[in-house]
Amino acid sequence: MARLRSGAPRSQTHTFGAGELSELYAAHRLSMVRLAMLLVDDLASAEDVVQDAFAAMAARRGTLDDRGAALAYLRISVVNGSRSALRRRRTARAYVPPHEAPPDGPESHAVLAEEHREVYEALEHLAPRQREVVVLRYWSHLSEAEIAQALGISQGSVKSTASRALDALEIILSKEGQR
Amino acid sequence: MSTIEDRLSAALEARADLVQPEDLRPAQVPGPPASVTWLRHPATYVAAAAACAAVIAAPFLVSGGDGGTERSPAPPPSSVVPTELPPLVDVGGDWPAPDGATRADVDGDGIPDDVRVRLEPGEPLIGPRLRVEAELSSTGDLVWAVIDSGEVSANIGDVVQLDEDPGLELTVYRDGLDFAVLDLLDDRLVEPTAPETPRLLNGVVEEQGTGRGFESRVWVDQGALFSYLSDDSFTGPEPLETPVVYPVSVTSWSISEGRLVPSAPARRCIDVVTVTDSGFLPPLADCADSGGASGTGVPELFPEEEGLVGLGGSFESEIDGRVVTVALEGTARDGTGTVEEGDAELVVTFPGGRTARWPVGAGWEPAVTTAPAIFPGGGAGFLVRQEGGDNTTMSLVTVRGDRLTATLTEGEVPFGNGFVGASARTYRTWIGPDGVLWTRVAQEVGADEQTVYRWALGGTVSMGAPSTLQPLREGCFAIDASDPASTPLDRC
Repeated sequence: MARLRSGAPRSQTHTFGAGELSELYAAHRLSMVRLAMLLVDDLASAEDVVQDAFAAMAARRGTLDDRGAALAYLRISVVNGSRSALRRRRTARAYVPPHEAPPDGPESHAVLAEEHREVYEALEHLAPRQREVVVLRYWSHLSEAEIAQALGISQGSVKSTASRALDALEIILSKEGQR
Repeated sequence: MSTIEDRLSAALEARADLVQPEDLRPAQVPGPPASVTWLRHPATYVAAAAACAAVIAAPFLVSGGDGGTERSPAPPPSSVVPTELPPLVDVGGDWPAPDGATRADVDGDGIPDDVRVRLEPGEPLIGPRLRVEAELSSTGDLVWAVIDSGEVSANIGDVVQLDEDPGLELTVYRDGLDFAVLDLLDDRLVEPTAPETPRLLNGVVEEQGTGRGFESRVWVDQGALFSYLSDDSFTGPEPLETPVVYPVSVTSWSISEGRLVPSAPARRCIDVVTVTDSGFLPPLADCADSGGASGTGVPELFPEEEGLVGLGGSFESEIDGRVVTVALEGTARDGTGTVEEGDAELVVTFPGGRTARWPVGAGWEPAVTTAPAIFPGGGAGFLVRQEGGDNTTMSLVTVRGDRLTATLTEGEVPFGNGFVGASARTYRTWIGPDGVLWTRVAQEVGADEQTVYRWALGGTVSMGAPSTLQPLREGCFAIDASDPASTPLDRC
């Protein structure tokens, strides 16, 4: 088994304060909600995830190095929170009849153009990790190293996961196209 | 970017843009007092600890360590070996941590926590226990667990995500012992109860009474924990001499209610030939039919190597990069076409003149194939045939260093040429292209449909002890027995 990777040493030159938290909230709340929504697929859950992420950061703000570190931390929290939300939803679905599942909100897929809707629905067939990699790469436009940090996996895993995800999407979309 | 990447970016952008600022709830910047979830708040731990203790401890045997012992209510009949919670009294905080800290997000707050393994001092290398501790970034608490050590070394392996909690679980490698999995449960690291089987072991699981062993492996792939156990047992101590393709039962693991839960086993094949780029992961591939090599392709079974040398003859051959001279010495009994013990020997002369001999057993007059049998995992040998009547007895004599050793065969797959039991179903063994040793067994009397096995060289790492030929089912093929080499081969 491979050993754990060592984390980068923290800088002690700057701490992250309450004012900066408010700035960060104002500047990035919307983008983080969008990120979470691309992962959990409904706005209410996405807002909860992001609010929890900011709340967790508020508890830690004195120990975050700087704004860049805070944003990275926030992104990690949103991804982790989204994953937890999906797990809770899967667990809940085991006990809730399908017709009681929450309906799509006003931002329903139906509003999407047809060509986007097909791709977006294909995303729902990906494994959660694949979806996270795809969203972070093609929407957040993160580097492989940044995605690896956000997901706690190796860059090699990021690359292979993305490759498999794209292969899967192509297969799904080609099947859709044949119908 | 490719078309699919363009479409993906555009679709994600379009979907994200559907969320506009006016769609969001009123902004409310969180503040510290309300921001720490109750599950992670230290004060909550203290307040809730007593109330929750009985519930949390239900799947476990609670050990007070040096401070005494109490037990949870009697576990249900199906429960397996209970697991210790860390002692209440600090143990091992001063043991050395030679590897220093590694980092893993144990508490799930998105920030890696410092994790250390402290080894109990002892002889000859380390003591019988080790302490795994994590300094939680969310609370500043130091959580820890004391578990058995392998008494040689131990270290933190990959982190895994086995339960619903966002925090990661730790795997701990210990020499000779199963991997330990540690999970953060409230303010403690705990070892979930593990089933007796399958095991989380990198090594050999002994097969009772046979001296053989099953291969067991553990690995982590993208945060998920897997293990496999070979379906067949193999000879030799670790490392086992396994063939290049063999079936295994793969288990994925999760944690539920304080227990490590194995999935139903999935049958795959280890295939070191087909899967060449697997990094730290085992070379797993889909199995064909009920076992053997992967894929649906047709193996190259023919033409058969037909060169033979009889008593008094010799030839040169290349084995492991050395040109050797192979001879069958001796004479047959007059008029019978048979040999008795001591009448005949296979003699191999190595470069430099050193020779090795293998006595041919009593039976029909022997002949040896001029093409050696070659095994992809290493090893080669000569096939000695003693043909008479309807049956041909065959012995594979391997060249190991400067020694000759006859391999053993075992199991239900016949070796040689003849008929299965009292039936008229035929079996036939031959060396095909690239020196691969094959046996085919007719599925019915006179039928073209034949089950084909490729022989792999298992064996032992004990010097001088015989290896064992192990059959790997390649599948069913329609073979025209009258002219197999010129007939296109199809799977049944």
